[in-house]
Amino acid sequence: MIPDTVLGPIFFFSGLFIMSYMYYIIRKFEKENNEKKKEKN
Amino acid sequence: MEPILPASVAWIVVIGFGLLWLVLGWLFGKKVKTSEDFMVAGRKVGLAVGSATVMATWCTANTVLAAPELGYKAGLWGMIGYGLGGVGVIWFGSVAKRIKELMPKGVSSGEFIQIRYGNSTWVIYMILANVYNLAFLVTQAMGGGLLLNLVFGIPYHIGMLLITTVCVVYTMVGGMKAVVGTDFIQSLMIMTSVVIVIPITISQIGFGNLYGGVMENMPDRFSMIKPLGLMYAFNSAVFSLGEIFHSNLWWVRVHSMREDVVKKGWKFGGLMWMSIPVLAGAAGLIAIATDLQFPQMNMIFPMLSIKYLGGIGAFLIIFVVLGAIYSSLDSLLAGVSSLLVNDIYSKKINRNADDRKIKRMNQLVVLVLGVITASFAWFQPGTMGQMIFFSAAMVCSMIWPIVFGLYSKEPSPQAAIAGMIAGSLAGVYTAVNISSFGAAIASALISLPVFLIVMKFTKSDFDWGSFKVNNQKEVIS
Repeated sequence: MIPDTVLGPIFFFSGLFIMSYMYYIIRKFEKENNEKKKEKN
Repeated sequence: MEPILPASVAWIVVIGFGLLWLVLGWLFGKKVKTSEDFMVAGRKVGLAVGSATVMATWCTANTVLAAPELGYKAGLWGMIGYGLGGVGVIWFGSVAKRIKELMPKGVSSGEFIQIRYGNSTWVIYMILANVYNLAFLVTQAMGGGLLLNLVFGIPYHIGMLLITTVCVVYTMVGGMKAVVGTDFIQSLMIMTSVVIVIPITISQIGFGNLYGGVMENMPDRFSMIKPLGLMYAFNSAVFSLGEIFHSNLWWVRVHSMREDVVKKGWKFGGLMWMSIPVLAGAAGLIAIATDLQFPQMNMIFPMLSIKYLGGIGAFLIIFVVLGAIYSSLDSLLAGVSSLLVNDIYSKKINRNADDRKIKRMNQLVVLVLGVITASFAWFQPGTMGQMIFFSAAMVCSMIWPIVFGLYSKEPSPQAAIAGMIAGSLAGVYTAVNISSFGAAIASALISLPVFLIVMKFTKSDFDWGSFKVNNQKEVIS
């Protein structure tokens, strides 16, 4: 049984990492997609 | 606990609202001419109705009744963490624009997986997605029955059957047009109630007394390093990514909205939704500050509403409860039926089915789903929490294959399958052996490296033209 004092920070930073990575990857993909569209036009 | 309304009044109100939805379903149903009208509301949903349907669908009974429990147990992080569940909705706005570009004539999330990753990945997707769909359908029907029993004293089985039957009938009659139309009214009911109840209650207590009361009774609820709060902080946010990005419940809304409003619609819907759990979560802090005695945690919001607003409070609770339950259950029925009919009936069983047959099949599937939902909900398999946490493990494993697959040519079917299986297993293991709060996070966290590593070794060079070809085929048939 892992205590909440250990699980709390683990879940917090894992969640923070997932959300940050998701934000980064969506922004990156959106930017690339917009650039490709501009090039086509 | 005593019901908040006399039985006769509760019955009149509940049946009255049921009749209202049925009449609206019939009125919207008159405008449904084609299967496209039925499944994706003719692709003409604008900004106001689009935002409202996104907000109302994401607002389940849990949003209003379980948020105070999180505020009460986990304090500020409970409120904020629940509110972060809106981030998935807002970010899906950007993804929604891409979906519209790739699949202007699309109907379901399943067809994206099938075109992008092929049949094997689609089979795994359909299994995972439909486990979640069934769990979500059953929990909403169960939630409806439990709430009508708890709040109005209506017997569980009768309340559950009443709500499920009304939803099934108006969704069968009016399809997605009826769902988004009724969602607009239901979202107004929910927003009005929450926005009235909490500010009035706080103004009656006073901010100073609220802060002082919490600091006196449970001061750790204002701590930002409380372990339970930290555990919960990003749970809803990650779970929302999994739920929204994979589910046809949401994809069908993307296909229903006009392309020029789709991104804004999702952003407004997400922002509107975020205010609800934050406000409702504050009810938990109010309960702590005022030393409120309650029989069950999910009764905090109704009890505060009646205590500080009297008879008006009782009616506002009815608005919230019925609005939240109907708006989520009808959306699920419409979303799951269009997924099954579009992906299985139209593409596997009867490829030459005409428009009338597809519409009829949708109506039949809504009816069958209603019967299956009511049958499971009748016996209440597990608690709502258990079912939701297990489904979190599965849906969060699909986040990366969907996001990468929408924009990049590189992800292969092998990478998608490996990510989905590894994430699901990690999530279920965490839910069973470590903590149910960790299922969503473990699933997304393990699925990501597995997906990226397998992608590196099995890079594909996907042809985006496949979407055009497949969508053309649909239009022709």
